[in-house]
Amino acid sequence: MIQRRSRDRGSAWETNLAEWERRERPVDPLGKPPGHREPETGPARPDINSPSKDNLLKRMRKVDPKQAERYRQRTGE
Amino acid sequence: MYNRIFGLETEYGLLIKSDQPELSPSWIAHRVIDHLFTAKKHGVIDLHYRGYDEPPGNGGFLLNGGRMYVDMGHLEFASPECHSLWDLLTFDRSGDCLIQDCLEELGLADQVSIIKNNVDHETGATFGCHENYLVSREFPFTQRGLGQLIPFLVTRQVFTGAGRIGMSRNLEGWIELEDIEGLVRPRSNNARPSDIVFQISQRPDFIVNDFFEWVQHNRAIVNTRDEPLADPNRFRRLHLLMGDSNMAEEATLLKMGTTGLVLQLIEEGHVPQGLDLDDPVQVLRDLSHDQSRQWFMTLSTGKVLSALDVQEIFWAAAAKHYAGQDDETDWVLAHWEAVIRDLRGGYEAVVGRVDWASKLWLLAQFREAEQVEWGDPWLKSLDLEYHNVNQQEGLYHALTDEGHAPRFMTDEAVTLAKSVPPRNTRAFARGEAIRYLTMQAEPRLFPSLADHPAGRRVPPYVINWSVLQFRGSPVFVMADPFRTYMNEMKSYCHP
Repeated sequence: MIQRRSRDRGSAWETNLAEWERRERPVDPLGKPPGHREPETGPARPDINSPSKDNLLKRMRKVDPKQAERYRQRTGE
Repeated sequence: MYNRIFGLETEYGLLIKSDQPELSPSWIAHRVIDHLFTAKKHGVIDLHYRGYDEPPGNGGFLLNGGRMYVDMGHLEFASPECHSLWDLLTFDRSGDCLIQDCLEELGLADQVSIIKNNVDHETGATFGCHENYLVSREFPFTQRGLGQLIPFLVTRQVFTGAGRIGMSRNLEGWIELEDIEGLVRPRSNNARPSDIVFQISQRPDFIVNDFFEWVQHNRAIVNTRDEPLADPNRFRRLHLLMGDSNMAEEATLLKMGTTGLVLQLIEEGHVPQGLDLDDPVQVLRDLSHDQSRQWFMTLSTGKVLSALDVQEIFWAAAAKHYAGQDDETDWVLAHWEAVIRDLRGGYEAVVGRVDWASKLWLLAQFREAEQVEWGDPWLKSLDLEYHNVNQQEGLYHALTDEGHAPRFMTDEAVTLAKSVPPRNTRAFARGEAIRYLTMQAEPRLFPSLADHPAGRRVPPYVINWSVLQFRGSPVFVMADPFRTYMNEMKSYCHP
């Protein structure tokens, strides 16, 4: 349930509509609800096994070693 | 999140992988715009001048209420207004996918990669990821008021930074002045390029001021341009351009969520005091460059704290006052606390959650396997590839594929967000207006007034963030970004 503090943002109907819209939407489709707390002790190291690391290295080796030299961008904002 | 509207604007880099000289980033950008608006009808192209550098045809608003356009040669996606962090994350990713879809449909995906980063290692060019936070007109937009935000912004890079190989010499170094004992002189640069093999953030080398109103020169930690894009009597828009583009979903949520909470601390008079910095621009840069990753800094009081200590002080204040405020706030507080705690144990603990740590870990694995030095150009290429938005190629996406980067949205939600606006902000009305326009018969929309001599000079529609108008109809004003204008828009489209 989303709490809203009183603030004049138009009619009561609009406020209720906004709340209804927010309740309807799943905020975390992967099953961890907002407010879920991570375990008190975080991982000390990434738990990456050898096959997984091999896959990552395989993908990195496919990268053109010279592509940074081809990347020519203008300065933006 | 309580009382806040969020937005993100991302300037993309375009990597041309072949040697065909006709394929310039600027040419590709215009091909994408043309395909998106003309062939796919995924929005409506601008028919009016939005500014001297935004002529008709340069871009337009999308079905999802956001905007795609070319800005200084870069493709840029501006998200629709979002009231929820999860919406913002999803719509931000929808921009990546819209561009990637276009490249694939144009048959250009093998020749071009879209890079969501902020720096060209070779030329020193930079381009931004701008954050927008709607605040009340009463927000203290004074040096003293905004100054309370500075210690937080300078130190948040420990979990928001995207990381990069090396450093850039600022091309605008001539305006880097510092005031020391009343004398204004060029800012010293403590770091030499050879000292910095890897830094945690991409933008600090290009930030030269604490407060300034421009965005292309003299970039500041806080941009002070007063352009609310809403009722100026009620709102202001805090526009930040010092942050990096994030690939990690948790980093995106934390960047926007923690900053939103610190703004609330300022609004309600609860922000921690005594954290002022004499030279925040230099501290911003020194923290990013710190090869020890201890991130110590000296406050104006002479006290020495680490960036993690400063973040913990802000977290504690936010937790004291806002725990239980709403679900998103609680999520932000829990994950903010966790990332501070885990970073104290070393960067490996936040791989997959923090971009710079993920990139550094990947590069370390590669260096070890291939026995390459930090100066090897291959590493710069891998640095870029981390930011490739193509899910089949990008190295961040490789981490997600292997299950090492937590997801907070689904691909199905992103697909929906490409063509459906948020349902609880004014973006809803804009999206509906654009959907209506895309369904009108061409070539002449709203022909009645077009037959009138004066009407021929009036474009069939004008769309902007806070107003829009169909030819022959009154101006439709959307001054309050919190409102959906649902019924009013229905009446406007079907009078």
